[in-house]
Amino acid sequence: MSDVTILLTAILSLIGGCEAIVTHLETVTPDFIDRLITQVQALVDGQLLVGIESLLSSINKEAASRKSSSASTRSHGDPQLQYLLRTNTRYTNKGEPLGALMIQRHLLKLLEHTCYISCQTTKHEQLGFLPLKGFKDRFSTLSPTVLSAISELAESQIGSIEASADFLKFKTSPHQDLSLSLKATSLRLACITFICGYEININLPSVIKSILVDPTQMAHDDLGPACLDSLAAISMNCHEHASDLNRSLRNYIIHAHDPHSQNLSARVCIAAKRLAWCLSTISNDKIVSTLYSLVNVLTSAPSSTNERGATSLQPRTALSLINFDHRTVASSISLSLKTEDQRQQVFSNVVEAIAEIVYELKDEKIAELMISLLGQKFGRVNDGVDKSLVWGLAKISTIVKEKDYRRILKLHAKVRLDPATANSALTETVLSLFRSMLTIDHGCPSVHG
Amino acid sequence: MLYEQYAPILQEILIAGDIDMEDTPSRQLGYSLAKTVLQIGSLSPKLKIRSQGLLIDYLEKVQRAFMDAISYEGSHSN
Repeated sequence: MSDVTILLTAILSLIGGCEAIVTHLETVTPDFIDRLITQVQALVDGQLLVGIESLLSSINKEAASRKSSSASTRSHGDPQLQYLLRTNTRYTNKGEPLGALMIQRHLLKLLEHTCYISCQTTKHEQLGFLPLKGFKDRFSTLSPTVLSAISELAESQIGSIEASADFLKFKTSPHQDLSLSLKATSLRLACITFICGYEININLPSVIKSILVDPTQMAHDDLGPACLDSLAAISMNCHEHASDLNRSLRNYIIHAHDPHSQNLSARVCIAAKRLAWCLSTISNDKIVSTLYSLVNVLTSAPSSTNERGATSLQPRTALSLINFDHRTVASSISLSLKTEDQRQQVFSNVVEAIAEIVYELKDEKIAELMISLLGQKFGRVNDGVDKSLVWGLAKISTIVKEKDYRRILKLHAKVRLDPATANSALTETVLSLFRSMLTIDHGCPSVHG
Repeated sequence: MLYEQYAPILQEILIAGDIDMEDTPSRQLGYSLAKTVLQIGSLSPKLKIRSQGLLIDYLEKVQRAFMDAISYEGSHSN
């Protein structure tokens, strides 16, 4: 069997084996994870991977030179080899080139899955990075040697991806998706060891913040959520980083803008939910002050009227009950927006985030306060914001009691009739909301319907 | 006669790989073997220890295959 046949067969077999283990492994023996880590370390060894890539690139060069001479295209007499080379091309064309990155990704995913199983406390517990409640206790059951080895592995993987970040510039690169997926897995593993107290030589909070400000990475289906989950996990468990990370998360929510991404709204919702989790571990005051700072973003719009600032619109009853001191309002957020599209995106993100945070917290007093503040924004910014407010309030309405539900319905009715806000687009928005509420049994409408 | 006329075209299509839609046998075999070993392991604690040991041995074999391929290529290119 030729070298190429052995190599490609082994890679494909490894991919199949890893997939089966991730799908079907339910419990592990005490020494399995130790032995697995040793084997994974050997398989993702730098020298081995360089040798694999070098052999694969020599195949690709040969194939390219053979193509230029059509007479020699079928000069290889080995049908198995020909089949494997075609398979290699097919994998490359679908964005999964057989090579070092595929090997790394599958092995790291296998290791990640094994960690979750090893730390499972009950049989029916959901396996995964979430939930974040009790995160540190859950993963502290891993032995020190295992955590140390995972820390090393994760750090080396993130380091090697960061060092070769050119793929980020080229969306057509077949390696971009694989690299970002590998980065996501490595990030979660690094986060586990970081929270359990293992020193890691990369500055993990800085890595997370650098991903947050990069739309390409945040738009990735795996890396975006991994970044948000890791940020929330660190913020909730390592209080020295909480303030900085929460601020970065808040800024991400406000400034998230990617016209090419179809899942931006979903990403903002995930981020808002994580922010709610982070803030709920601090205090109610912090939650309210953050919500105020978000509302103030709408107030900072040039078209908004400044006759009554957000802080003076406080329902006294609600505030006295939660002992909120409005002097602790988080500092206003500076916006540097260049276009109207960006401005509209920011306002939409803010309303969506406020609704999601209130929905996640399910606190009656906070909900009452936000209904008042958001209700007073109708007609004060622009039509786009009015539409977002309709959906945002609808989301909040799914967790409130009857009294506040009626307030929201009255607000919706009022905006359709008030000359300052009424227009056919808004009327249609309110009507489509009611239509969707009549057809949905459970769940809640999203801000964009 | 029709077959003789179209056989070379069909052969071209097969070689070009347009009809290669399924997972390769190597990947399928790797998946099935690992799955079967895990299923056997779920029958008793002793079998579980043995089966998980087999999975580690399997990964070692893959590593050896990689090293063999690289050393084979190295010796032939020299």
